[in-house]
Amino acid sequence: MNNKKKSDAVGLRDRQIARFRWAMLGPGIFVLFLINILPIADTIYTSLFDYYLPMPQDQKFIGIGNYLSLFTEPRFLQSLGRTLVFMLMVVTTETILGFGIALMLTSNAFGTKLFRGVLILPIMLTPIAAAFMWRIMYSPTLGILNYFLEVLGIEPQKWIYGAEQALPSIAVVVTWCKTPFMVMVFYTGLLSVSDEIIEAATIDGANSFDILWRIKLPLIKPVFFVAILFQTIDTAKEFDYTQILTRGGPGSASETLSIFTYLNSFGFLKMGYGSASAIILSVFIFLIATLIIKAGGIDFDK
Amino acid sequence: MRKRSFSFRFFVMLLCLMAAMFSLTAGGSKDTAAPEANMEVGEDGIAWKQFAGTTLRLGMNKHEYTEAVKHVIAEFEEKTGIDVVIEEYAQDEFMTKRLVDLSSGAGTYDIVMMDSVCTQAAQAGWIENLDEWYTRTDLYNAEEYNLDDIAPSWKLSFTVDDHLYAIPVSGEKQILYYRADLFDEYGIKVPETFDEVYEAAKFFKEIMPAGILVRGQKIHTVSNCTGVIWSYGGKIADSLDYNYAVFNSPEGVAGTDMFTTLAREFGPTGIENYTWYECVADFQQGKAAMFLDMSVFMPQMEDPEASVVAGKVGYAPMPAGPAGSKPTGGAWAISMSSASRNKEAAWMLMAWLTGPETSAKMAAYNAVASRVSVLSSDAVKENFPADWLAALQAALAVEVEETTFPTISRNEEYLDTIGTAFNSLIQEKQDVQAVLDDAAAKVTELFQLEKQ
Amino acid sequence: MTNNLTMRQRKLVKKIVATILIACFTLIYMFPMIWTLMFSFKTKVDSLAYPPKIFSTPTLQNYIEVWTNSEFLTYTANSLIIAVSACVIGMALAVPAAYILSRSAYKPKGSKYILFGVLSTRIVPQITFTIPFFIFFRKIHLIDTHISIVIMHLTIILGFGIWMMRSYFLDIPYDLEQSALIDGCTYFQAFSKIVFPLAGPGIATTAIFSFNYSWNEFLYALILTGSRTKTLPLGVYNWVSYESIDYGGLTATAILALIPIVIFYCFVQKGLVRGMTMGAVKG
Repeated sequence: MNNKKKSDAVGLRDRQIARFRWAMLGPGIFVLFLINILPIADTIYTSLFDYYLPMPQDQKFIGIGNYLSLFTEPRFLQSLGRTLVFMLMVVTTETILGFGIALMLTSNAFGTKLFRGVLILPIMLTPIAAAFMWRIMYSPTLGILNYFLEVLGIEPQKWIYGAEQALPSIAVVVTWCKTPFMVMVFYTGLLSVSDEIIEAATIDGANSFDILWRIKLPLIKPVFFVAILFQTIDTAKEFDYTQILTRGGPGSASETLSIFTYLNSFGFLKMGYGSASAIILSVFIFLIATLIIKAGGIDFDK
Repeated sequence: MRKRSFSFRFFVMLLCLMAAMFSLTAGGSKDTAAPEANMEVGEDGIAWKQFAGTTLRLGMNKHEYTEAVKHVIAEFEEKTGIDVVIEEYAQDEFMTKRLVDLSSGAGTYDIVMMDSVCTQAAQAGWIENLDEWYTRTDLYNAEEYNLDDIAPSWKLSFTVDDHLYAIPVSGEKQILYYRADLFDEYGIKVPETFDEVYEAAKFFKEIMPAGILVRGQKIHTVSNCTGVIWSYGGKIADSLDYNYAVFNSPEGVAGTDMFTTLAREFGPTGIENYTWYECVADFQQGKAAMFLDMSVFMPQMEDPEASVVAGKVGYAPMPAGPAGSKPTGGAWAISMSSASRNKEAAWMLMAWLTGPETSAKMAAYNAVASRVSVLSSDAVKENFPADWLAALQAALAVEVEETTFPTISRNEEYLDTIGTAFNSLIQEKQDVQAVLDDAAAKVTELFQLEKQ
Repeated sequence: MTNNLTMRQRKLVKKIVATILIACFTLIYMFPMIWTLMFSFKTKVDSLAYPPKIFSTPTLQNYIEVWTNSEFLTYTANSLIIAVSACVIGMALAVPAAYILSRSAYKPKGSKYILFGVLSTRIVPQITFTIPFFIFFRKIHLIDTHISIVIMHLTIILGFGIWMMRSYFLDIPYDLEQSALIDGCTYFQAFSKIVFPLAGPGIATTAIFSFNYSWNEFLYALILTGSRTKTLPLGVYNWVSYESIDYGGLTATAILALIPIVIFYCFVQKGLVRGMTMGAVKG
């Protein structure tokens, strides 16, 4: 009897939990999947067709044909490689710079509040405007960057206008715009480490480096890796800046996978081919995301 | 826990507020029912008021022509009682927007501005065959209209299978911009041939950042290089049937070599990714002695608010090659969306806008007309620099054998393929013949794809 | 002689040196921003002059032009409606979901797959979405309405919000809720009264970036808006014409577009700092 009552209570509790769980989780997940599932399915479906947009009546099913021809097209493979390089450049710099700035802001210097307020601004500037501003700053004949170089006695550079420098130059712009995100995330993380822990550690004779390395970093690790994860995803998909700055040029020197996809879908109107390339881009990002999740030890069972 | 920075209640209240806001804004658009058609016929035999109350949507590129349309549109609205809504976007954005709208058959726009994708849109059935609309004499003043007056070379670009699909409204032709003051100062003759351009560019490159400016970016560079190929006696395709590419002929190679050498040797640093934004800015700031491009940029150069060289620019016809001066051109046109729900009203507006009377009026607002009669009228002569007009008219007088871009459906792919070749030659000196042979094979492939 | 400096003085010197270093860095880092600001006060000729005119007579012409020649206020109103809705709805959906996914007591079986699923919605490039969505919204007559763009922005904000908020919730120890539950709180009360306030900084940071994303988003806004719902980024692009870029108008619009989002930031910032002091309690 007693036992039964207990199990009833547990059952009631389980039901309550279940109700609570789905009331909280349901709407968000439902909306998200409802909006996303159809377009994703549509993209996958389209990627199996040879589909030239102006002639929908001529589309024919070719299975994985688009994927096969993508992997034999050097231009696609090059853009895949470029995306990887670009992503590495941007995310690494962003992380280091972002962490450095966050540390700076938690130091006891004057006016850190003001600096924090100012340093967040680049991410708030409309990407369109930021990209156009950098484009004119990069101009070899009229840009201020080459003017600074001239003052310093360094030879003028081509920046986004030259094949060798185009991709790194775009990386600089994206890094500049997106680092504030990292700063904010790290900064909030660092601040939330309680003073008691730090005090306790100081009494134990830890120096400030130890505190940072042994105590602060492990504590902010989850947020740290989620930030890196999302920056990686966004950088791999990056489109606005590249399109405005170089359109993938000169030649194809800065043609990343998203530019390639856009060009094929919206330029050449090869919808099947473009969709296939988008799917590969997604899979590519997904693999890297999984890697980061593994590396960061983002724990799903916690 | 009393003092909470984020009160949950506040959060929920905000949510409710949003929901309320939505129900207000969610009204959506409902077409108002058109009132009884007014069939009262005017002096010219046209019932102008018959579509009163209709709303027409124009999808336009941000262009001088759109500005001019805005100036005259009130007159049309008053005359017909039709409301006209103009939506304009910067070029790249406009193209994306137009593509999505046309290809989905949404019919958001009744009239869209059209460029070199005309063939594609026409073959896909996205835009109307205008030949049929020209027979609707109840909707426009056919007696005065005179379609022959619109420059044939521009009409050719919008003709698909012998039917006109878009009406050219604003045309441009390749000309040579030069710094008249500098040419005077150094006693250099205004170039008439490409060899003279070469010498002048070489001279000026020594004393300023660029001897000559051209657009070097992949897609941008095609129209200008094509003109030089023509002037050297080459052609892009064998015929207007587009069977195979012939720009790798000896003439084509010579022309391409000249164009890309000019850009590579005497252009500004980084010319390989120059679009017109960079070219115009550099020229406006006096960083280059010459600029070979379309005539459309003249108002930018002569605008004292934006240009330090205003009043110091000279305009010369396209320099001649061994085969003479054969400039390319481009035009913007207006076309009617097949998905439009107000086609008759749309045609009324299109015919009115492109008619001789309105065209003449619009020329006063800097819109470079596509009508030959307007281009030679006195009003236009007063408005534009004489040497510029002369250069443009000289270009118009040249007979062209083919259109600037092949009138094929896969236009973007063509531009990308041939542009890649030109662009790689601008980037570094290579064997022109080999590069062009390779590109020609790919372009021929594209031509063949069209035949299927 | 340095020995004569007291501990306090030495600290002060250190602090000043640090401040100067940070100031220098900030100045360099912010240069493009400063340059943008200067552009907005320059005439067309001056802005592109080379050698660059660092100091030129400032003009308000660009701002006047933005005010009179463009529908700046309409764009701002549209952007505000869209960004506030997307941010608030997004957070309202993401925060509870993230909470459930962060608590082993509540999360459903296979939550790992839910998380991966959420992530994959963020991963798929938006470019391929535009045409299906355009056709879909066209069919249900939602083109050129705020709702369609809000929905599109939600696709991005939700995934980001759920992941970010989950990691912030993971930082908050479960003990606090447990004791609240023992005290007789319902599950929801334990969440809304205990955890929600503690997650303040996380919510603030996530909200700022969600708002920022929606405020500056371009591609969806381009495809799905019409004359009535154009947003600010499209307004910025309006200064790019066929032949040239009007840098004055472009930068002036961009600078003006910063104001609302900075206000939003300050507003949320208050919660952020207060939440942070609260956060220190949790230990």
